[in-house]
Amino acid sequence: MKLSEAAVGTKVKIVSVNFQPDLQGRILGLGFVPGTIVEVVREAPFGDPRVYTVHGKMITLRNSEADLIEVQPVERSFPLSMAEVGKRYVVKAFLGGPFFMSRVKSMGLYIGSLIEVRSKFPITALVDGRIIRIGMGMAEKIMVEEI
Amino acid sequence: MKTVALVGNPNVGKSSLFNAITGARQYVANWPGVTVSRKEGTKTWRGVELKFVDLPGIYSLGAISLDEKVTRGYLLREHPDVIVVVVDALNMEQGLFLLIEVLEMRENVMLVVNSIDEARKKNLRIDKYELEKHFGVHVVFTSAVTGEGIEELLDRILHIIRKREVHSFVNFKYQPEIEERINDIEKKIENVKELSSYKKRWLAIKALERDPEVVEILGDYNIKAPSELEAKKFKEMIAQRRYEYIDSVLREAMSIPTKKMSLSEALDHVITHKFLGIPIFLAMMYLAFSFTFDVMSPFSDLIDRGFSALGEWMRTIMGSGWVTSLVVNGVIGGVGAVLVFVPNIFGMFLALGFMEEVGYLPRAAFVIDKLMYKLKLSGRSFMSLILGFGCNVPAVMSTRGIPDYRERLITILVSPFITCSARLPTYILLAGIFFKGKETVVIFSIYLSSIVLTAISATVLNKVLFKGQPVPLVMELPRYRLPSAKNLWLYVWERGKHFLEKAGTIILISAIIIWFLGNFPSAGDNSLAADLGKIFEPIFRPLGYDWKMVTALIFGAAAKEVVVSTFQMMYGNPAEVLPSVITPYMALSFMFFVMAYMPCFATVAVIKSEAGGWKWATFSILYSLAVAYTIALLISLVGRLIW
Repeated sequence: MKLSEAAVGTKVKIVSVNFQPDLQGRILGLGFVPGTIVEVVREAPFGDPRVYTVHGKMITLRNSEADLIEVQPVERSFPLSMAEVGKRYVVKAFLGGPFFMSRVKSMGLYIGSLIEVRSKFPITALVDGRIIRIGMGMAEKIMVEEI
Repeated sequence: MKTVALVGNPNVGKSSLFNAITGARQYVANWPGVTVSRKEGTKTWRGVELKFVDLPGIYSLGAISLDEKVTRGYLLREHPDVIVVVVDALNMEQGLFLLIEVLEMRENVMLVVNSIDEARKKNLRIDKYELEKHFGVHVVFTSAVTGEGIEELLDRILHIIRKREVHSFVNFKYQPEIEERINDIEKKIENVKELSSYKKRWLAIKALERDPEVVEILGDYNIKAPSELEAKKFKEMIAQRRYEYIDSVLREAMSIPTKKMSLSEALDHVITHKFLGIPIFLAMMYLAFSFTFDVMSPFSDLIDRGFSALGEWMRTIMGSGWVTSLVVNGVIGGVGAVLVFVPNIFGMFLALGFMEEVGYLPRAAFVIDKLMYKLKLSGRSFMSLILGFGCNVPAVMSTRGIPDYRERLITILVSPFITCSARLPTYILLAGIFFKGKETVVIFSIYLSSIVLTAISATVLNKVLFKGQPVPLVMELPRYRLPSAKNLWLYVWERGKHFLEKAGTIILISAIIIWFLGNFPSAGDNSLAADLGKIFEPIFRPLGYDWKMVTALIFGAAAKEVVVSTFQMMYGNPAEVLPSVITPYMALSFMFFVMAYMPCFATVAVIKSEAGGWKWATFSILYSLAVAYTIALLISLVGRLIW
């Protein structure tokens, strides 16, 4: 997963940093090194750029820059938007209001539902033998765990 | 005299520490050949004269960005007697990363942990001796705000000067694979006498990372660097190991306080908020704007009245005659017209300095970035451009804070299109004569066009000059700090004094020249100024301007206010005479010409010094003249069809 895809409020671990040689040194120096935990703090108006905490500093990166950093989730449960294609997940929580709850219910999603992600942007997934489509905005509010 | 270099990340309070040590005994110059400013100051301590050099804030000692190049080149070639690495007590990691890099490169290094007072307030305890043990350097805790630790720091500096330090830094090793490669390269370097001034280990590490400069140095002696793919892996491993080491040292050397939402985080939650961010940004801009113009204008009026009184007084004691006219109309009138803006300019820098020191500026840049990105600029350049509505000179000067050269250059080149306050008198005069009752609409449309023109220019210049590569926005959001009065004053003075210097030089000289041209051999139609206007008149015939308007434009190039005063001089009473000379659409075309045409002398001078040479200053003049002529011609042509 790319760092730009990690949801606001989540923590992820850096797998690799793939900038051009000219920027690579500065990015590594700032603390974006493999193995480091990064927290997604906030996004600017219009969703870009975003602020990350890395080694205690708050650093802004445009999404086009965060695209170049590969990460993986560290917490056991994370938003469905961060799920990987081909893996299976179990729904742990919904982080939305009444309107959101009625929408997920109408899609046949419950706490404990098993989801197999088939593709992303938006997410298409296999749930109870049916293929459903889930927008990325909705997927950010569905907390899942990998099985 | 002994030299002490201050090195550190941006926002660690390095400059505050520098101010606290050297006080007002400092000066700013440019690094040779580049436009990064070089701050130096002196301090005599226990009979030893020390020269402090405040190096640009950086995160790593690569040789890519201008700031990095300057810092690294200085440490590598100018051999300062002591290198002080400054880190922030509240967030030491990135600073210690830099410390490791400096230690690998040079001897006589020491560590300063700054803002120790803030750390104490947060119950953060740092063990000085653990840091000294693990990094093998002297460590001093300081606070630039309270002055704590500064004497100890100066004592330690003297100690290092007397008894040179060699750092073995034995505890720190890279991964076996890296160490093996380092050894191989070190062995090859050992045989080359010419490389003995460098630390072998540093050369070896940089070679593994394929650092362009080191690869070139070693290439001369047939020492090969790894492939690009390998180098990328090594670079990652090296950085990873450094951070692992730092984390392990800090676990021993630092107590982590219980985390609660700090004021800084709470403020950030609102100020950089998804929806509130932009309204807050606009409100802050409005406040800065209104401080610069409304709060400061009484002072401007005071200076204005002072110069008028001075002029009157000179006239009474010197009588009438050409010398009096030169002194009163030329020197006092010309220079005074510019000095009137000094309070606005200092006010503007005070507002900007406050926002920068308190930590708002990077947040503003963060919030507005998406919009500026469309122009291939970033939020930072927006800050500079907005200053241009007051005066283009500080707008251009404030681009010093823009780290990316490309973005900085574009911002400098487009900022003259922001219509400054000196152009307003022309709009008011002409709109009042030709568009009575519709003045506001006309003037507002000029301001609007000015913004649109700036945006279009930025896009076009980026496409043409740089093929539109976007500027990266890798920026730190530092924690909020209350700026000290001393730091603010130094901020304002350091920037504002350039303006005073310019008033005393370029503006004084041009005022005198204009006076002579306007009065010899005789004032009016037969003056040299009239000859000048008549030479260029044919060029402006398609636009419909007469030679007097052309003369005003030529004089106005020195300072835009001069356009109106030349009108006064040439036409006697413009309100009565002008309507018989030109039509309303020609007046409109003239206003747009004044809005867009060449930057005034003072702006040209700062463009030259800030963009680095006459090339860009000339470009700016020619480009804006072409744009102004095109727009004015279009208005004249369309106007001719309509009226």
